[in-house]
Amino acid sequence: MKGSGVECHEVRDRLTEWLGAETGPEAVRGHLVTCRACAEELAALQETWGLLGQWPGLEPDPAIGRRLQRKVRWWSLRDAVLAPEGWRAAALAAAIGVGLSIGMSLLIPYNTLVALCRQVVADLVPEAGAFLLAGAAYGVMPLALRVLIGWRRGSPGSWLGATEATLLFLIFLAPYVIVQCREFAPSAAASFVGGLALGALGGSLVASRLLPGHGPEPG
Amino acid sequence: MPFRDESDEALMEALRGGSAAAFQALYERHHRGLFTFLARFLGDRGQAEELLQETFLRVYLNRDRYRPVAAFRTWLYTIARNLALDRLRRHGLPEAEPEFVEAIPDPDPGPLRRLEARETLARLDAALAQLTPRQREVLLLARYAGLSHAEIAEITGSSPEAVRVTLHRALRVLRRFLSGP
Repeated sequence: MKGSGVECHEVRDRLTEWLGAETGPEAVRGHLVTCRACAEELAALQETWGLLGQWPGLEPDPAIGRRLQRKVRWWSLRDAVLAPEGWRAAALAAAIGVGLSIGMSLLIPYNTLVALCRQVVADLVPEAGAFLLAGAAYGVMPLALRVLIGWRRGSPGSWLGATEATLLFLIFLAPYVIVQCREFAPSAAASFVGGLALGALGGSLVASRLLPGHGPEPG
Repeated sequence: MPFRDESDEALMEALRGGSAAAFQALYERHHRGLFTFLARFLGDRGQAEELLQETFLRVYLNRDRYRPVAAFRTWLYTIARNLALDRLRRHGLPEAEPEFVEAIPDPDPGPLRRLEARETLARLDAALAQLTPRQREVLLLARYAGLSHAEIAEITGSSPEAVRVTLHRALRVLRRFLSGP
């Protein structure tokens, strides 16, 4: 049959466009007004389509989602650790941090800063506390440097970058610190180096959390 | 939840940058529809769960190959469909699971209506088994994944016209089966 200028077989090929929609193509709509057979075919299709809608969606075992998430978190961390661009940024930050730290020690030698710290904390903590505090003051120098570099480049996961930068900072700075601490007693030198490491790591991590959008990812 | 309002394509961009939270958001958004498609297509929950995991792992592993010119949903279902077809080629269609229908929760408390609903679902299960794999995948993608004819054509490597015809035939087969004795 021909109605509205289109043949039934042409219309029937397009009836499925009507399913789940309010209306279908204009040419088909005109044909359906005049062709009872095609209108009945559409009604039958819609009825079957509606019946299929009674079939509820299925939910997989929730453990699958958790397992996938754990695996992807681990892979994501592994990939980030192995990414060379992350290490390049960390090395740059560490080098700048070492330069600043050495520059600061030339202006204010370690002995002088330890003496200052000793005056500040003498009544509060034991002797080693002064070395710890002085070390932390130098260690905090690369504070946010890695994070800032990451921020400028728009890279996420800065806590990892901060950790990488701190690690490299401590490795690069170690020879200089050993030479500078040779006059300290072993326990004082250990306190100083411990303070340095804590200051560097703590400072970087705090900065990485404070900078908007670049803290550790929400879980 | 982070990324709640982001598009799939924006989430993929974040995933390429290493965001595990973006992956979680994509999983939350698509796992139910994809699992329904796989379970109905294969007729087996266990295999569908395996392929669901495999599909999402491939999304992560191939995240650098994804190009935003294609809709994420189309890409996701293409991966799942290829895995399912590969599984069917190697193992054939699994035995129908009787508990598959029983496991479906029924919101109607009346015993007679509950029985009717369960019978309808059982008949739908049986009706779906009458379709060819090609008809089944097109029907499931259209009805349960809510994909357009053009998207289904892209996933199945055919044309929108061919999808329309296949869908029409699938619905006629179902109707004939469901209205039979």
